[in-house]
Amino acid sequence: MRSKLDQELDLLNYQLISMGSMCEDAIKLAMKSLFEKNIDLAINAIEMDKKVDCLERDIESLCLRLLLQQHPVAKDFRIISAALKMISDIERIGDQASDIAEISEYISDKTIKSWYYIKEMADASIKMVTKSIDSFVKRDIELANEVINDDDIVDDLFVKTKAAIINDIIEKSDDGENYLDLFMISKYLERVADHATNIAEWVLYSITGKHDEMNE
Amino acid sequence: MKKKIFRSYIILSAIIILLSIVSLIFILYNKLSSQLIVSLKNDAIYLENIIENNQIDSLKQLNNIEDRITIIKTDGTVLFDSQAHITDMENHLEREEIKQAIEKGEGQAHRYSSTLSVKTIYYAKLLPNGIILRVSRNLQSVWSILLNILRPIIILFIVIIAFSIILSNDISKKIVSPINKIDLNNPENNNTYEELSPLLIKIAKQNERVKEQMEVLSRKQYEFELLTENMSEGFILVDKKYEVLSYNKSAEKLFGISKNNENNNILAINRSQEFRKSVDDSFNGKHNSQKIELNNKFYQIVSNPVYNNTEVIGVVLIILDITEKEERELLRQEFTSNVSHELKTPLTSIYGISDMISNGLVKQEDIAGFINNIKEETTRMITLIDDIIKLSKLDEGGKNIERTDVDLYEIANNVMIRFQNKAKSNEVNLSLEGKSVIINGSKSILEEMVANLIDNAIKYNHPNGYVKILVDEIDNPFLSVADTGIGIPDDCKERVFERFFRVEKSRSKTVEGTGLGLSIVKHGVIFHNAKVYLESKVNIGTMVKIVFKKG
Repeated sequence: MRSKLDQELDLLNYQLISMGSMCEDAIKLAMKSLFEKNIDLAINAIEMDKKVDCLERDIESLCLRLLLQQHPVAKDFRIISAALKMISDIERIGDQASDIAEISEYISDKTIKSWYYIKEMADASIKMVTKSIDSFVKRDIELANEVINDDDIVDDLFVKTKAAIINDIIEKSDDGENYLDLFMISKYLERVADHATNIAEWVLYSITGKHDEMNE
Repeated sequence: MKKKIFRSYIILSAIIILLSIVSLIFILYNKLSSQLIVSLKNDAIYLENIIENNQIDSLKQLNNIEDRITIIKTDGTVLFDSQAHITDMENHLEREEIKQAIEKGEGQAHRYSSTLSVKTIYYAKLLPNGIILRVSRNLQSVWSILLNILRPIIILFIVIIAFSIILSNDISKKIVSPINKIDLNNPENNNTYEELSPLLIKIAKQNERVKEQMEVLSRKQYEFELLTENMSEGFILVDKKYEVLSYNKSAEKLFGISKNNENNNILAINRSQEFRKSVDDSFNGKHNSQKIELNNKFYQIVSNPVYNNTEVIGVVLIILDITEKEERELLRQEFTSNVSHELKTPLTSIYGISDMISNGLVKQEDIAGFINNIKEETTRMITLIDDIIKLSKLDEGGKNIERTDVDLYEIANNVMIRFQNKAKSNEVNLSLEGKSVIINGSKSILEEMVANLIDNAIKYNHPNGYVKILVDEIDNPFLSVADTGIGIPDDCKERVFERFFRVEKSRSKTVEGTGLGLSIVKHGVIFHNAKVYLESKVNIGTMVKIVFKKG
């Protein structure tokens, strides 16, 4: 006979995967709306972010209820506390996606060179988000470590993007707002990658009981 | 079992010990009391003699004896006591034994001291000289006797416990071992306790029933497994908690489910938006069908709720691989749009030219040139439609196409002669090598194939390049056309056999062509059960080799 706690943990698992995949969808939609200039997709991304927010509250109250009523210990406790931390990161990714979707409407000029780097960054950070959710789903330590290492790639790309935008401004400085928006998007993407790293760290914590930042 | 036997042993021995002690003490005690009284009486007779002979004072020398001697007057005053001062003693007239002695000449009584641990037995005798002699002795009470024998009893008890443990172990072993030896598969063939035979018969009957049911179940299970494992569609069963209950091999293959995945949740298999919607809808009692893309393949997910009465207790997911269908659909769409585009381009220019002529916008002397344009465009359209007709014939499987023994070399030679003029105008050198090879096939299709290959080799060549045709037989008959042309980029090699595919994307028509040539070659190859190989390097050249089956 499975205990009540086990059943609730299954539910938590399901909801976490749902929330993770929703935020994955949100960031993908946002980037697609940016590249394809499709306002419908942007609206979808923003809608998705709202759903993610709702789910965050649900999961939060589920976690708190479990902590208060079931008094979990050891691994169960780690899973729940990691979940509590993960959802805030997931929710932040959703927010960034929604922000990007909002900006995407106003970006017009796609011929500039820095566009290439934005695409690279988008691909890299979306891949990180997918990997971090995957590492949670599969309880895969290696994959989580990979995500943590991948963060450096995105950080590098951010520096490159910044340089490219500066170059673009020097070459063609008539549309200032456009460049600022692009820079914002690259910053958002960099944050998304950071949140994905955090998620991976909490996945590691829930499996091994060790958290990198705590040990420092 | 062991415990029970042990417990009953202990209880039994405790009861026995208790009963024997009680009865023993009771008997002993009574015996002791009566013996004591007899000895007191004897003492009294002896003392009586002493008192008569000597006087009371001589008794004082006897204070070392066990008995307590008291001499009392008939009015109750104590004259002598061997163990206490007479002045402290009260009147003894009310004492039971004294009363009896005064009345009957002798009397006895027993009293307990205040602590109850000592019982004193008194014997009083009225002497002839009118004084009463009382002799008394202390007797240990039952409790103190008990206290005395307590130690041996405890030791006895411990010994009994030890014995009980050993015995109960032994007995339970002896009882259980035949039961353990019973062969439950054949319960009727056992020599064991008679008392167990009804049970064994019952077990035998149940064994039979279980066996029958197991057979039915395993047959059903086997049938089900055969059904699910051999269907090409994936099959996943999900329970109410979104946990995967079972899946078949196809699902395993399609979604790459690994058995040692710790997470049993359905979303661990796939968590795309469509998949989630499919599962969620079915849990809400709705049938759902979704198309998802995974690893460049298309799947259709059909999900159905599983009902128990009115409650949804799970979801069945069927996964169909619709990649081929999807691709065919895509091809058809592409084909239609390509055909319409290819047809529209010449038509538009024909329309434009004829419009200009009919409106009198063209000078008389230019009309001939424009008419020539119209003729060219119409030729293009006819070529295109011819190609399409050839293709669709081949598409039908070529059932009505006659097969005869044909000479591949002769065909290649005929076609080459046809293309000599075109080769010359393109400054390309055409050559044919090899020997006569007879294969079974359709002459018209083979001609078409070779023509398309040679045409391509000439069209996509550099000036002063050459085209080498080779017909020979090494193991199998083959025909190859090699050129020194512009070549095909690696990423296009797979697609050049597709309809309307042209490496040069912009339809600027620097080189004329319908994009159907190699597609016709491919279908001809399929018709002849042959194989086509393509080798190409950009700006070095292309070599197409068709290997036929022997005979």
